[in-house]
Amino acid sequence: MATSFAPVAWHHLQLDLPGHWEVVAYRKDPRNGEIALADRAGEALRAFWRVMQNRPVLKPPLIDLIAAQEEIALDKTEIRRRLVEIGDWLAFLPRERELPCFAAYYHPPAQALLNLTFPPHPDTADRGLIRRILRSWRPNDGPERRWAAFGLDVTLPEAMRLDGVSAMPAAQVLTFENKREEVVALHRYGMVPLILGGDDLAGFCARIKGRRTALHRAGHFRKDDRHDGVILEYTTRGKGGLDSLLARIWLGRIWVWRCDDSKRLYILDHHAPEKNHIAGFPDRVRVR
Amino acid sequence: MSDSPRAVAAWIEAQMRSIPLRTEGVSARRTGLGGLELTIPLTHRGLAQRLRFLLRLSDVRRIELDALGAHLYGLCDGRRTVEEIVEMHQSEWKLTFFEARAMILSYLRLLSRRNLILFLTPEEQNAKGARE
Repeated sequence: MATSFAPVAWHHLQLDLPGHWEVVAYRKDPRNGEIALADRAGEALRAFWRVMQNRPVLKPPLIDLIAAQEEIALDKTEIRRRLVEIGDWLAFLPRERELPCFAAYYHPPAQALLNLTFPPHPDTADRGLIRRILRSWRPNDGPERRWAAFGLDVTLPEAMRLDGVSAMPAAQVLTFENKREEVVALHRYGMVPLILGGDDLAGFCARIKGRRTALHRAGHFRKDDRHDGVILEYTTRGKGGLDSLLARIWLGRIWVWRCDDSKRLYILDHHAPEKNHIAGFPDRVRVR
Repeated sequence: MSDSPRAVAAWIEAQMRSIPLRTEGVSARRTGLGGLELTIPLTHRGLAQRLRFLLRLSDVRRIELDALGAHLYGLCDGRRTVEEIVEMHQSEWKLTFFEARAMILSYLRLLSRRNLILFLTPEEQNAKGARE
């Protein structure tokens, strides 16, 4: 059966990976982080990044890393001979299927050193898959950043930094915040209609936001011309708390829609002064 | 149990191969909206047994399951492995593998802690089948 691919985008990485690989570990730090993907057969990929002021030399530390692996009984000369360039990457792809593969690349615009480790796994026994993954890499450091993980996929302005991740079964939330404390939250819920519990989309949103937020309906929309959705709005004075004494009105706008074919429900919540709202927001979210 | 990744993976794999079986002696009654009320007989021992009339201790404990919980409880028939139940749940609700596994393992552990189910290994299930 042909493998279907889906993008995974996290900080400095954008890769096309097999769609059945799921994010099982992550770190939010943009300067020194990692993300790991696995399927039921085990871990398939672990990616690391580190922001470094000075451009590092790639080969020697990569060779040292590979030589330190107990299961790789090769000397450094042999390892050096087996290194190959695939796209922008310097890679070690041993023929032996039971050995892990490694790849490294330094991306100068972001000053980020990227390292990929592919543990032995049934999918990556086909080294052609790893080559395809490496060639699919695209930078993710421009004025628009993509975030694609946990079944969520959104492109946001660079100023929106990843603030929170909640990855529970059938309930994933990514939260972003900029320096002005304006917030974007992207939710994905599964097991629809069970989770609705008889509520409509607006009622479900009210449950999520809590009693202290008064939502009112602002309209309808169709996501991707396929999925019916509702637009809700709420207002706060600034961020709330003491800020509400002096701050101007902030508008919260929520787009909520359900995808009956995948039994998923999505909520997009944008909270900021109205003039700072990002235009065309629902179109920035891709539904899988 | 060691917390090394390999040990955790081996433990999860053993859980997935195990076969959940409803505990004997538990009676079930259908409630509205597809739920289930389970009645578990209690056995008091020692001082509790002597004082149970005075303290009005109940002889049964009742637990109510919602429709989804009742459906999963029904799948614990001593024939299906945990892995098969995970696959059914994943397919029915279009979840990812890890979502379905986390939900099912968590729920079955809950049922097990309340003595509503027990887990058989494949060898125990084969021996049980041979005896029957």
